Amino acid sequence: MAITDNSIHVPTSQPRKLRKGTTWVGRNLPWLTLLPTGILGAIFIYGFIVLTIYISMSASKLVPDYTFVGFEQWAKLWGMRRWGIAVNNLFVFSGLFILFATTIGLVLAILLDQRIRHEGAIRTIILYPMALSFIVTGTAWKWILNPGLGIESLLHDWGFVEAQFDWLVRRDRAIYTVVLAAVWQSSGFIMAIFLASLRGIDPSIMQSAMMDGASSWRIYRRIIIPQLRPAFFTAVVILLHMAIKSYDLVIALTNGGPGTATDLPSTFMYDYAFDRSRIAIGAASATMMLFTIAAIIVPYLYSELRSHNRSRGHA
Amino acid sequence: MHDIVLGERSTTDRILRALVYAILIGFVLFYLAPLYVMVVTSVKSLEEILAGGLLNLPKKLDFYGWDEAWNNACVGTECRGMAPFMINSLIASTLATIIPTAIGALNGYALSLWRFKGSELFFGMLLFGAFIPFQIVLLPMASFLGWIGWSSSLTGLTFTYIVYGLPFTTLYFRNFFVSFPIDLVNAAKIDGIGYFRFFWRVALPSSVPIMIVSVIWQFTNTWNDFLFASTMTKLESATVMVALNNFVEVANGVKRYNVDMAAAIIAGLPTLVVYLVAGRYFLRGLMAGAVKG
Amino acid sequence: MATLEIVNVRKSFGAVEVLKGVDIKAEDGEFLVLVGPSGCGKSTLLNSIAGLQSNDSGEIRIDGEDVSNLHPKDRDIAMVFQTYALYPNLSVWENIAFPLESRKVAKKERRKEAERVAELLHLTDYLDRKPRQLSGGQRQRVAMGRALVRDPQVFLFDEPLSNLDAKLRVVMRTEIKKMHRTLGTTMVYVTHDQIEAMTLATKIVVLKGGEVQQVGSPDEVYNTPANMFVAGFMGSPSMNFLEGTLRQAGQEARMDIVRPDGGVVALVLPVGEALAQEFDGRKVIIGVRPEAMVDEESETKDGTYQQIDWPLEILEPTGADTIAVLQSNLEGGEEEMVARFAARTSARPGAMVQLNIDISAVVLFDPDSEKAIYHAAAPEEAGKLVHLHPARNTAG
Repeated sequence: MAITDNSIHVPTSQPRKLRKGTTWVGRNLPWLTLLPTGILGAIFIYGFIVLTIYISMSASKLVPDYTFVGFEQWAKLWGMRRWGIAVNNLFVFSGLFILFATTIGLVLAILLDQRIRHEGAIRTIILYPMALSFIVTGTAWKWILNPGLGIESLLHDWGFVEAQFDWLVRRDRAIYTVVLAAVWQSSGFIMAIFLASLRGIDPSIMQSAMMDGASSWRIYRRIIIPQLRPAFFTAVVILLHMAIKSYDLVIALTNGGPGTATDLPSTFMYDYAFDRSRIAIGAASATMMLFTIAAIIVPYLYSELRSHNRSRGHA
Repeated sequence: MHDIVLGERSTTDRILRALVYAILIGFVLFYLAPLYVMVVTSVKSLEEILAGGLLNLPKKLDFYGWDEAWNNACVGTECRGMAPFMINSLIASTLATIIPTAIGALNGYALSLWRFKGSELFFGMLLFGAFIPFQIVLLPMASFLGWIGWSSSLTGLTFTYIVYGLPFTTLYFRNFFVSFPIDLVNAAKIDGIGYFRFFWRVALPSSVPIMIVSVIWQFTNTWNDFLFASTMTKLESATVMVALNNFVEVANGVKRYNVDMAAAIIAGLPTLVVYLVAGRYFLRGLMAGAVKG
Repeated sequence: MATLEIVNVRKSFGAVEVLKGVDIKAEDGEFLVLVGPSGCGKSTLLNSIAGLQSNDSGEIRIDGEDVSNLHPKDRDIAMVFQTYALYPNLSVWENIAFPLESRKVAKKERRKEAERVAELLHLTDYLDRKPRQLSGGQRQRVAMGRALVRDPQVFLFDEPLSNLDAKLRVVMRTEIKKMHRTLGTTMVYVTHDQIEAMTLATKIVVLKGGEVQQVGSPDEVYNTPANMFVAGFMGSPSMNFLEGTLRQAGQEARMDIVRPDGGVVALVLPVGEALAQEFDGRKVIIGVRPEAMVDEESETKDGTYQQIDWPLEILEPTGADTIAVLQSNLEGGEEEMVARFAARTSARPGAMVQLNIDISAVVLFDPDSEKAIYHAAAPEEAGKLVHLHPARNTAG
């Protein structure tokens, strides 16, 4: 056998005892490592959040003026017609964006889950817009949607002489072009979320349902889609989060126009804080954005972290 | 794979299968169309563009748009093309990729393998920073950079990217190391292998996949960023996205769509290449930002 | 080489007290096996010895020195983990020699040490491989190599064989035993497998619910279990229990046992006058090992056999002998008994069978405390047991 008698000797190359007392630094290395990040986070995340909220309660206009005025600026903000448009647009935009991106993502995921040839290539194509900047894709969509030479002229070429597609420059329709571009960009990611979730379902569940004679429609409706509930939840949270933060796409595609027709809270904030120099109003609108996102993200993170810790259990 | 909609048994199944492929091809065309339009427009002459035919292939290849975009395009008063801005972006994104990834690796290592009282809370607090709308820090950050003399500079912008990249990189490494067997750390403790030696010799070499994820994420995000870049830079320090937007927005007279499209492709090409080369890691980064654990 | 003392160690995780004041002493060169069902606190205790967690109170002494507040690396111990804990990106030799790296041993020297240890463990051909290229048994050897290269004062093993298949487990068990004999180093070994405990240990510690049930040699733990838990846990198939009433008969006692079918059988036990008097008219539980419960055809070893009739339920031939399954009379009636019959037994399932019980190997338990009150294998201890254990009970 492996260990033969008398063949093990005490190695002489190492010191017999090592009683190097552990230093304070040695014992506290883990949190010392995190200290720089902690300080940066305390200042640049939480400190700046507090500062912005404070500015929103100050009398600041062109220059910071730290006279405390309470909720005066907030009230002013909510009284502004343009802010009303921005909030309204956010509802329309996020509602349609989530609806279409989720539906298309789910349909694509189910279709791709049918042993499709070249699945990898198709996935790559569906997802590539996520790698591009909204500025780049916004520029492209702006060209495609422009009334003179874009899709409209294409429709004319194809014989639909009466066809009109001038949504990009119509006050009442421009927001839908933003939805279109955003769905185009993000639905691939939602597809990936659903596909990952579908692949996680035990195939034997479906096989047994098939043997029981259930139709494929029924299997999807009753067995598979209910199991995608966590994926739905994730998709909606992510899309909502994206919608609230959407800024670049609007800037590149419509620049908030025509007029203020496609303003979102994000573009409103930038405009007031930097271009119109009404700092307090800008800060107040940023605060509203933060509160909205916090209301969605904090419970989400909490549930994610908790379930994650539970599943790890006690080792 | 759950091929339960489609077996290969009957005619109905075959028709269904053809339908699935038809729908998928439709979507593929939908996703490819804008890219196709960009490319063909960029190599058409302006006359041809103005004659219509959005989807037509160019009658004659014309690289005027590319030449203009790269060498002569005007951003503000600068008429030196996209090249200088590409360099600005490259500098900012490179630094904003390497530094947060390095720090994030160490952070994630400490948070998962050397937990201490409050480490979970620390992680939760930092994680929230990955989701805030950056508008909430924009005003103080601009003042801060002005105060320390970095306003409208590439240094200030890079610093901003580094600070707000840390939550993401920490998240990646933390969630990676969390599934690392804790017995490895215990063995190291007993064998007298120090905190940094274990990190350097064992943890870090094992984390190459997540390092790629982090690098791709940071590079793509900072390259594509517009909000910070448009706030923190001026003409000389502008990144390529700011330049592109500026260039497309303010062109006077006849819009030169071929130049616009060439400029857009140039600006988008680096991240597109990264995606095509390492798409798997790109997706993993996206997913890790969405579904923790 | 060192002694190891564990003095009144307590540890709680939240509201759960996992170690409830554990006292163990291991002599220099001892092979100490901590055994018990999962959740008994054996791994927690091992982690306490290793210093991977701090104790709420109590001391761990290695070679007489309290190491409770020392960092694991300063305790001069080596540990082999259940998962082997091999560093995935390091080669076999680097894994083995890694502990030396932080001790500032030169690379050439480290390689030489790794080669020396690898030779002992038959790993020489695999030195430059990565752990994922090795089989389970080879990984196990690498893990042992990493412990060996340290030459520590105490080796700790945390269920090192539980991830191996049955055959390899037996091989590695033998190797660990040889390693102990050759090195002579103090070893602490955690397992839930009582066969591993019996074969390896010089001293077994049986744990349950964070309390030490018994400390003793394999022979002591097997033949003179301190309580019903130890009796039932050690040995496979485990000890059989029957309930009955004791009647004093001079120096001896008669135990009346009511069968599940209502019939009454009796055993006469030489328990001594004191015990017979104390338990006269009281219920007791008798523990009989399967090998001390045989049929007529079995080759009986030395012993004092008495016969009782009992209904037989099932026979399971194993080749060498036949496992007989009978119903016990313990409350609930779900308990089964297992007896070891001859390969060619004449007994028939469903009928009454004559059981020969070797009363020189039985144990009596007090049904209330579940403590042993009489060991036939060591009758002189019987008196001590009665009075010693209730006292311990209040202390623990």
